[in-house]
Amino acid sequence: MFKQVLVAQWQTSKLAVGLLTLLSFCIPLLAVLYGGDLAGAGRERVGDWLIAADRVAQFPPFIALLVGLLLGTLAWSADLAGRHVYALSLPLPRGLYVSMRFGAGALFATIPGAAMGLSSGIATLAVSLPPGIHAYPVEMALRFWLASLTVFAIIFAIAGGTRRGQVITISVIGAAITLDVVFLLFGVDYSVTAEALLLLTNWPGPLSLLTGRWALFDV
Amino acid sequence: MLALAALLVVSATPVRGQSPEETDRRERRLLARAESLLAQEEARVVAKKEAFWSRLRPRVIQSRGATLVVGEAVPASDAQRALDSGLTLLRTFGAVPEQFAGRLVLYGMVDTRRDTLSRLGFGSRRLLLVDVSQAGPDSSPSWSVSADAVARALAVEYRDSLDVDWRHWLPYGYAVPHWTRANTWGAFQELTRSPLSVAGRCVAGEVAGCRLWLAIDRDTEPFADRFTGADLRNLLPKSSLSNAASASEVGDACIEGIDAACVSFFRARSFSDIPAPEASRRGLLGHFRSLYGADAVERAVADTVGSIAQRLVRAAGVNEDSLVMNWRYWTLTRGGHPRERSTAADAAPGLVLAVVLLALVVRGRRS
Repeated sequence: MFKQVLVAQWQTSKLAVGLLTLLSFCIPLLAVLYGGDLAGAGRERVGDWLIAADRVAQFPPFIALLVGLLLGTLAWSADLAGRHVYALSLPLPRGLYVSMRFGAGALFATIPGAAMGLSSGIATLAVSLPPGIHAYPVEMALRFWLASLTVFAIIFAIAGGTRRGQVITISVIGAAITLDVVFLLFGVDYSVTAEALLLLTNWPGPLSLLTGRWALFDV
Repeated sequence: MLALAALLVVSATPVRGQSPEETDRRERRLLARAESLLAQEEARVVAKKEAFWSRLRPRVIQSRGATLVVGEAVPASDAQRALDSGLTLLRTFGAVPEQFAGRLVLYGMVDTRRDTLSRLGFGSRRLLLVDVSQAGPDSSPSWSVSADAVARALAVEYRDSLDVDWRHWLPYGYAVPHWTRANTWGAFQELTRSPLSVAGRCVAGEVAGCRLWLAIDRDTEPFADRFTGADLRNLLPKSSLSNAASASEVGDACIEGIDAACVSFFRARSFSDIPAPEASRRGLLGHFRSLYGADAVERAVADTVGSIAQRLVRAAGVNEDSLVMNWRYWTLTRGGHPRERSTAADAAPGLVLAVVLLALVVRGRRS
């Protein structure tokens, strides 16, 4: 049964998975474009290369976010379009069906992660690093995969939740934005959304993995 | 105007055909006019002088024990704001104890002709001049004091009151907020672009190289320990000492490749024995403050025992090498901090939330 769910979900997700995999593969290789032989290079060039590598390192968290967002929403798109007729016609309890959908999505989220790991490895092998600079291909790939999976799981849960749950989620976001507008009108220097974002993205916030250092090459 | 009056008096000579009485009357009238013009001009000069000195009449502003005396030309609210903010800057960025400001009197644009500050009762306190800036056109200028000027004046004075190690090592503007991302960029540039070998050793991850670059230890032979002969030789063409080097025997020997001569030549001149320029040293203090707080900077700067490294370490209670390596990471990543947790620990909160949400979805019913 999992195979059927996997194949059905692949139909809706394949384009996104393909594009995101390509993107994930290309990003670590960008750092190599700035130069491969750094072991004998002058310190000035190493410095410039470090800046370039840091700039490249700003992309992976956004791609991980994109992977989670797209795969999380696409996991339910076929059910929403078919008004859940397919799901209800299956001789499966809801819990098992949801688990299968999640499993399929998580498997698809692994593909860009694997591409990131592979290209990080290639990039690491392609560069001869000077002393004091290190490569972290495994950590980079793991971080990317875990971040994609976390965002995917959260979006999957929100999109597949009850209508009541979705209404509550949207209401909370709407209330935060309304409060911000009211504060702005009364000249209060406080932003609920900014504070909430800080809480979410600073450890132990659930999205803290997306912030922090993502450098494939670090000192 | 005076010249015009004089001209009138001189030109008031009797004209042929005029009677002596008429001439006399005319002369008296002109003289009276000239005297009146002279009096007006004198009054104008006095008023102008009065207006000038009234701008310099002292206005005493106080805040948290600190005193600022400025001329009345500087608006009181402006001066008060500058003093408050200047003291806040020093407290926030550390290094200068609050009570230090209480021992001084800051003054600027004040009439000091008749010992004004002593008459105001500030004779026993040390006087410190603060910059008053002028803005607007010359016809209607306005004067103001900035918080930065207050903070800088106090910081420089405090720096001068410290022991020789700090006076030698503390960079300019150490206690005012220039420890921003721009400063990390400056420190990065200094470290990665410096031709000195200790900078290269530091970039390569050698702690001893970073310590020598920052000059935080009491090295027995600063020039010989922190610079190689080749470093010093490379510095010669870029420094102001190049002419002196070719003119002296020792300098000439240095140019010709004798390392010991380079050390002797630079040591004999007033060339700084600290390899790291100011942004790097400001960076170390800024990073130290961000890790251990402004109080730790204040404690370290007030300490007079041991090397700079020992004082910093004592104030923060950390390991010397870890502080230096932290600074290296901060500099080379332009403001980054080494990871404190593993990737798994970073991911844990998000995964826990995801599991909870999934459990809710699995148990829920669509309605």
